[in-house]
Parts: sequence; structure tokens; C-alpha cells
Amino acid sequence: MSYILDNPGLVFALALQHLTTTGLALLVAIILALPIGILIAPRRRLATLIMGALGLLYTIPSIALIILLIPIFGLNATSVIVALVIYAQIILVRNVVAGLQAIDPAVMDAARGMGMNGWQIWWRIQLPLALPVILAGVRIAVVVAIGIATIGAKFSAGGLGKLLFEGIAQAGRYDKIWAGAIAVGALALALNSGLAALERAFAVKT
Amino acid sequence: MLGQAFAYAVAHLHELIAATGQHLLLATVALGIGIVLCVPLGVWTSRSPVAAAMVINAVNALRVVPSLAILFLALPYFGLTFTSSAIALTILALPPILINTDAALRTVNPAVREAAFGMGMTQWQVLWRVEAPLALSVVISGVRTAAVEVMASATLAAFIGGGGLGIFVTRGFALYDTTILLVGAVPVALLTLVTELGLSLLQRAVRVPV
Amino acid sequence: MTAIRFEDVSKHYPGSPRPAVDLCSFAVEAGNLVVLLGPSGCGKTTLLKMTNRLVEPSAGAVYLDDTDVRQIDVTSLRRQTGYVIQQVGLFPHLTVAQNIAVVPELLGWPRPRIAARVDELLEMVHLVPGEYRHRYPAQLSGGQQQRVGLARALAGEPRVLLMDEPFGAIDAITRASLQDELLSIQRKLHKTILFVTHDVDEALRLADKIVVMEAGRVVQYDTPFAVLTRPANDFVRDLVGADDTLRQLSLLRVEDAMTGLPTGYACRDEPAIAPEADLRSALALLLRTRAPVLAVVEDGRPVGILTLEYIRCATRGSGKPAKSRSAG
Repeated sequence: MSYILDNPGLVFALALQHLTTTGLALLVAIILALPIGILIAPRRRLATLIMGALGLLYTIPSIALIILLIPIFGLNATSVIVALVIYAQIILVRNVVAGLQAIDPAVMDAARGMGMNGWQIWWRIQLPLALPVILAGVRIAVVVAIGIATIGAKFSAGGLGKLLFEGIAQAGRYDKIWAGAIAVGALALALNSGLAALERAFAVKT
Repeated sequence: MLGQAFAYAVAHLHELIAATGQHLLLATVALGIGIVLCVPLGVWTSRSPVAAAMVINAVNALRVVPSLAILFLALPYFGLTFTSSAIALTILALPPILINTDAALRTVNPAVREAAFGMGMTQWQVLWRVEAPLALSVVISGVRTAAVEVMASATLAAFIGGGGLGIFVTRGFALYDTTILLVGAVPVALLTLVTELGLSLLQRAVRVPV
Repeated sequence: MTAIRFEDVSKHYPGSPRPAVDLCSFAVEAGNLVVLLGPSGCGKTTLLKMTNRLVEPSAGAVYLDDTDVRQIDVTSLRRQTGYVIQQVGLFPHLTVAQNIAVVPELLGWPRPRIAARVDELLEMVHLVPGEYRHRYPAQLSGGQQQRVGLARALAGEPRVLLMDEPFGAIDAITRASLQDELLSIQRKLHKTILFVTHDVDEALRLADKIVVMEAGRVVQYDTPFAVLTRPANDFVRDLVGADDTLRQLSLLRVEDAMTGLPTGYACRDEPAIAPEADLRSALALLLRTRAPVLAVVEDGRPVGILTLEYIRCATRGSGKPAKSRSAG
């Protein structure tokens, strides 16, 4: 704890770096996941197949996946960001599909029956109804990404993980381990509660 | 590069086998302790709203903290040892098993439980003959999540002296050699996939017909 | 002989202003089907659950064959009392046969006896054993599930059967056929049955005697005929619709209103009606055929006669017309 108080600037910079890496990956993942989810959600067979395959990919440990990406992207932050996009992607697609598939078919029929076109149905019916589930996906993806980005420090992606790995490498620097653990834990918990609050705000009133 | 990694693996086959064994041992110990602790705890929380509110919330918060942080925090207390890694991995195994056991028992239809008591089953018989078979699939699903998590995080255990397949990763970083990194990464990926598939099959086998 | 006896039974739940069950006393004869009838929240289910100690009374005692149920080990008590609930509560991970076998297994019956018992019960509830034995509950309709629920409750040859709104969640047509089956099973087995319902028609149809409950108290304990024709107070009168004559007629049975064959009476060509038919159809038959008298025929043999006068008396609850009473 004292390490954080002694080096507030450094810890803050690392946290910012951590957030930038995570945020960038999340942004790419969301842009990809929405169209993919929308595309496969109505095709149940295809959705099951793709979700199964993505589920297996998700099982691969993050450190292993980053290493497996090194031959393609090199031993640098790019491999970490690509891995982050892949994991976030899986969570987001899963939740977009779940959110859309959970919509009562009768509601969709009613919307079509009222003469809405595909775009109107998406904006006015599907998105608002699926939003809480999609936001839950964003929250989980953020938490997972924060965790993986911590490991990413070892692959020169920077972030709060640096403190943890330095603490291990420099014998006796347990203060750095504590500082890194507290900072990254606090970051994850704060984002988790913030996004959970956002989720509640957008929840469909029942 | 994969070819070079394969050659390295063949050259260090004994070491690879020993590391795999230790990786599995670490994961099994953590998972075993996790099950022994969390299944009874889950039974308790599912029956007590107060316990559930406290324990489940604590565990959910624990789940959000990055595993690397939890793993490395074991170091100051237990040193660069197997024990250190085993304890940290056990902590990572707790949340999914506990949460799933709790949820599984909560979803048992109260009418089924009432019928069981009404037929003259003892507390123990209701738990063992009715609730356990009904909850088993969801509990195993929690064990599966925990197993994959532990199997993955055991790779990081090498950083705190826990051994396992992560030793190739630490060595790869030390020597700045991607080939050696891959020798750690590929078996770990395969192990987690096998764990995931095996436990999925088990989970399916014990599922209650609907 | 008394099978179940409630003696000044009360149940107070902490934090509730009035008792759920308030000083209830009544006795159930062995082999009778007694219905606990009342609106929801009147305490009827609480009372039922005191019989197998799923609820313990705050005061008073429940006796099973003259033994205080608190003297009986709770699991052994429950194994000798069959229990059927509205939500059925079949074990979803066990097949139909395994569900029925649970209590016999708990009682340690030998395997061949259990297997024979399962088939016997499946036939009794009209589920072909070969077809249903190995099905899972999820593969049955609601009505079929409750048939299995009934078979499961009877499996251990219980001394009494407790039924808590067993047909409440089942559609009207299936409910009627399940009620018929319960009656036909009851004619064979003569179990002591306590049956909770809020459905007046069901109560009048099934009961040998009805316990009418209001706000935790027993307000009337009588035969269906008496409850309908001589309600103890306005609450009972409204509950059973005693003022609606046509409804009354449809719920009263011919055998409740008829008189035995007068000595020397020879049936000629009177229209015939069965003793278990309701008075509404009897009245319709009288009006349609313009006959002055109906012959009550059971198994092809005349057992009594029924006239408009007897029907009128039945609806007034005054029993039989004066002259038949003096004749009998």
C-alpha cells in the first residue's frame, strides 16, 4: 500500500496504460461482436455450432493463447491485444446471441405485424430488449480483459502487471506485488460495479 | 517455429513429462481441496440466506480480482514453493464450485423436496438420494469451470516456484526464446481442452432428463 | 374405529396476528375420505401437514390410531402415511417405476415384492406398466404425473393417505376422471384419506364427510348432504352455494334423497336411475318422462324409489318426507 502512496504517478500511469490496452481491445471486440451476433442469432443451428467452437477457444489459457499468437504477431503488445480481442469477442458474441434469442417471438411478430422494417425492429425492439444481456457481456469481458492484460505485462504490453512481475523478479520487493495486486484488484472491482450499475439502469422494467 | 518447438520438446522429453505430471498434480490438489471445501459450504449457503449473502458476495468479488494478482500474493506468505502455488490455485478454484453448488441446490423444486420429506426420508436421505442427483450436473459444471481455471493458472505458478508446464514459459522469457515458450503453451492448451471436453461429457452423462 | 383424531390443535406462527389453526378438534373414521374444505389461508393445509408432522402444532395433539403422532419417529410416521401434493413433486431423475419404489425401498422390501407392487399400482392408476415403467416424469402429462404421484403415495401400503389439493393444477376434464379413479380406488382399498381442497364441487363429490374451515377454525363437520342442505352458518351457506337450488341438485346424489322400496311395491315400467346419479338428472328425467315416480336401480335390481316430493325435501335439508319416516 505504501508503494502506491510513494509512487502515485507511476501507479496511475500504469493503470492508465492498463485501461488503454483493455479499452482498445474492447472497442475492436464490440465492433466485431455486434454484427456477428446479429447475423448468427436467428440461425439457431449455426449459432450453436459457432458458440461451441468459440467456447473451446475460450478454454485455452490466456498465457498459452498469447504465446501461440507470437509466431504471427511477434513477442510484443500486439499479440496481447489480439488475444484480448479474441476472448472479449467470445464473451460478447455469446451474450449478444443470448440476448437476442431470449426475445419473445410474439414480440417480434407483433413488431413485424405493425409494419416495422428490419432496421426499425433492431433499433426500437431488439436492441433495447437485448441491451441488459449485452451490457452484462461487456462487464464480464472487461473483467476478463483486465485480468489478461495483467499477464500481458510479461509480453511488454505494460500496465499494472508490470508491478507484479517486477515484484517477483526482484527478490524481496513484496511491496511491488502488493501494490500491483491492490491496484489491479481495485480497478477490476470498480469497473465491475460501475458496469453493473449501468446494467441495472438499462434493465427492462418488469 | 512449431517444428523447432517440437524438436526441443523431444530433446527434453523427460523434463516435459515431469513438468506435465507436476502441472496435473498442482491442479488436482487445488481442485480436490476446492471440492472438499466448497461442496459442503455450498450446501450450507443454499440453506441459509444470511450465509449466502455473505459468502456468495465475497466469493463473487474474489472472482473479479485477476488470477495473477491472487497467485503472486501467495508468494510473500508461503515463499517460492509448491505449497504456495497449491494454496493460490485452491483460492481460484473456490468461486465456481461454491457458486454452482449453491445455485444447483437452490433450483431443486421445493415440491420435490417436500414430497421427499413427506415420504419419510431423513435429511440425509433427501440430500443424498434426491438433491445430490438433481444438483450433480450443475455442480460438475462448476467443477469444470474451476478445473479449466486452475489448469490455466497453474501455468503461472512457475513464476512463484510451483513448477508445472509454466517452467518452459519462464525459461522462454529468461532466454527470450519463443520456441521454448511454445513448448509450455501447446501442452497447456491441450490439457485444458481435454479437461473441458472430459468434464463436459461427464456433466452430460449425469444430466437429469427433461 | 377412529383412524385420525385432532384434539384442540392450534398453530401460531411467530409474527402473525392470529393463529393459522385455532383449537380444531374432530375425528376421522377408518376407511373414510374426509375433505378439509375452505378458502385459501383458512388453515386446511396446515392442519393436514400436522398429521405427518411437516408442521408441528403449537398446542393440542394429533392422534393416529390413538397414538400421539409425536410419539412416533418422524420418518417412520411419514413412511406409513402416503402424501400427495398439488405440484406432484415427482423426482425428475428417477423413472416412474423408481419413483413409485421409493417408500418400499426405504421400508426395506425385497426386490421382487417391490417390482410386483409397482406394476400393480401402475395398473390401478391406469398406466400400462410396460409402457410407462421406464419413462421419466418429464415425459408425462400433468394428469399422468399425478397418477404416478398417487401410485407413489400408495406404494408403501400406508395406513392413511394425505392429499393436498392433488388435482388443483389439472385441467377440468382430466380432474374429473382423476376424481372418478380416486373414488373407484377408494371403493377397493378403503383407505383413510384426508383430502384438502378449496373446490366445493370436488369436496361434495369425493367426501364421506367434510370439514369446513374458516380462519383457522372448524365451522362445520358433516356429510356433504348435510353441509349442503343444513349449512351451519352464512359462511358455509355462501361457500357451498346452498341457496342455488339447481346447483344443489347437481351435487346431491339420488341415494341421499330416495327411499327404500316400500313393502309390497312392485316396479312396473318406471324410468330407471342409478343411485349415484345426481338429483338434477333425476329431476330432468321426471320432467321429461312425466312419470310420477323413478325407480332407483343398482346392478339391474330396483333398490328404491324417488318422487318429486323426495327431491324437494332433499333440497330443504329436512331429510325424508314425513310419511316415509313413519313408514321406515
